Amino acid sequence: MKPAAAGSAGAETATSIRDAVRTGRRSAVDVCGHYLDRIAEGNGRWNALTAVFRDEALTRAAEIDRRRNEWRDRPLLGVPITIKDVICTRGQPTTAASRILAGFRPPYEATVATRLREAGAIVVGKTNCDEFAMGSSTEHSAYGPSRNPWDRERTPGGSSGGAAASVAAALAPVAIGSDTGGSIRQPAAFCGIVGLKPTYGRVSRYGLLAFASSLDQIGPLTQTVRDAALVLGVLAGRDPRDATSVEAPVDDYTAALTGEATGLRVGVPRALLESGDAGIDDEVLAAFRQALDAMQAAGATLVDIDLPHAEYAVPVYYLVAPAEASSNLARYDGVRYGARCGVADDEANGGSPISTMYDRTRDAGFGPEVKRRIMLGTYALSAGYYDAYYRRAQRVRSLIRRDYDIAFDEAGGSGVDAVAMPTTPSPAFRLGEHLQEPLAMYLGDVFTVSANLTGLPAISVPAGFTGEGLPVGLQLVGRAFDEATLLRLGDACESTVAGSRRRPDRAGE
Amino acid sequence: MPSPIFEADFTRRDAAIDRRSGPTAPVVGSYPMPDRLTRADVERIAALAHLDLTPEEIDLFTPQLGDILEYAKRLQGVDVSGADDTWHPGGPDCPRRPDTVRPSLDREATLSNAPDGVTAGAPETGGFFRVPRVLG
Repeated sequence: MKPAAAGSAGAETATSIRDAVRTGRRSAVDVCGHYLDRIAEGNGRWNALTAVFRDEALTRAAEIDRRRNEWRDRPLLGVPITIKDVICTRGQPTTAASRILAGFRPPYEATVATRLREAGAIVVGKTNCDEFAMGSSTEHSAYGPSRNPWDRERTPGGSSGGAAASVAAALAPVAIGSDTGGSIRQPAAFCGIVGLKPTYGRVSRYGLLAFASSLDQIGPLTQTVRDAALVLGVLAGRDPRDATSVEAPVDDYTAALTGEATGLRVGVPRALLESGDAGIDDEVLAAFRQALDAMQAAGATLVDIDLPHAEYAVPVYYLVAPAEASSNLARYDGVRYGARCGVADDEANGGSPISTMYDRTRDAGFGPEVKRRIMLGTYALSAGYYDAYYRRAQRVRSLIRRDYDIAFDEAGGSGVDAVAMPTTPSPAFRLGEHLQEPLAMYLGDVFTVSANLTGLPAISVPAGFTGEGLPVGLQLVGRAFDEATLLRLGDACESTVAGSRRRPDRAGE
Repeated sequence: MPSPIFEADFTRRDAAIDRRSGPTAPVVGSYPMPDRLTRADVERIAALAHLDLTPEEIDLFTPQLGDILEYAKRLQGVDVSGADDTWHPGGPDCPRRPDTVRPSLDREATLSNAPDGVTAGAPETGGFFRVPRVLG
């Protein structure tokens, strides 16, 4: 048996809210009003949301209550959710936490938002993030940093930091984030919740403001693995509007949760974890070892595996992702949307007036991290450097994928069902700690970026706490399109890891 | 059958590649290793990226980007012989869709987000994005 949810109504799960609304035990208006009140009281402390849609949410909740019988089979009936500010919601502010998109209201809706609404979920607001999802701390946001509900002086992680904080502080039971290099899993680990990055192609990206198109995925941040399974079932599936989404069958993810892990083989890349390169904090390693014990207790078999190219994942990622970003962000030029720096018709900066307008608008509109990445990507793709940087990174990327293929291979490899490692080498760091040293910030992504480079699904689940009471995350990486096994294993860990459902102390609120 | 002209072209190109990666060329791996990033490099990249960086930003970015690129040079030590490029993690198949006309975004709604969108009027006087002069 799992420990019951903490006493506060705010810590309810999506599953329990859905069940209560479905049976009429609670009205959707009551639930929605409760979370809107929590946001009104708590958001000033966490800076988790950038926009709140109070009236629209309550109108939708009332509609759900009126049509409860007709809609009773909808899997997220009456569940309030937040959506990261890089995902378009029609007619509602969507800025990617960037000045360059100030005032933008998309004329179309992301497929995930449409699917969530059709499933009965209520979008209560948009969440803060690093600008265009570039960062690991939410400090690179035009709205200012979000705060970690476990310690206000620390980052909730990033880039989906507002999403993670909104769930950890019980401002919403479910948040939808995006993950290009760990942006769902790392904040989930820092905030003591569950974060799932599905397989590349599993969930449509239509309506996601593109950062790195060969890496981006959308997924849920939730309090429990069961909720992650429930939400993935809604998000997953082919979408004709995203050519990279695939037809692969969508499993019944909640049915996969048996509470045990008997028969599953879990790979542990010991050499990677023990190399000084990864720089793992002792307490994180201790929590990870306890999580391995918990998986064994749940019936899993641990297998030593080798991922010889994993140590190159960070340099590969920080060439490939900026290269793609430099191309994707070329569209922000002050013509079709967002802000523009005016230029007089006789004023030109060595080029034409329109070119001067582009250059000034982009310099004023983008923050420093986005500019660094655009510069890095432009350099890596430029004549004379393309082969040495970008092309070589794409080849090492193939070797990283090959390492995982061998680990998963039943015939000639290790035949594991999942690979386990800490989600992050350290617990949540202090705000400002890495702000002046971009490379130091990037090195913290050592365990998360491989899943994006390979496209494999990965989940972060709570794995205990440090002595200071900061959450630690366990990451599991699975076979392509086998989220079901990943969720089953994550659920088994959640049942056995002590304190996995502990919530931040709200005594001070 | 390819024509003799094409064969000759391929031969010349192969010869060029061989020369570049030959033992006497100043190379690491199969191509020259770039030097440490300079301020002039940063100015050149900023122009390519359409960013009107301030002198302070150039001062800040030159060492920061230089550190990242120096760190990335560790990829030169990896044996990539036999490794293909991974452009994206999807399968090899590119699904096709029927080429049929479908409705697109509403014109007025799309123009309403533009900093200088002209929505009103007939086709000659409205329905476009207005921009500064294009010719220098």
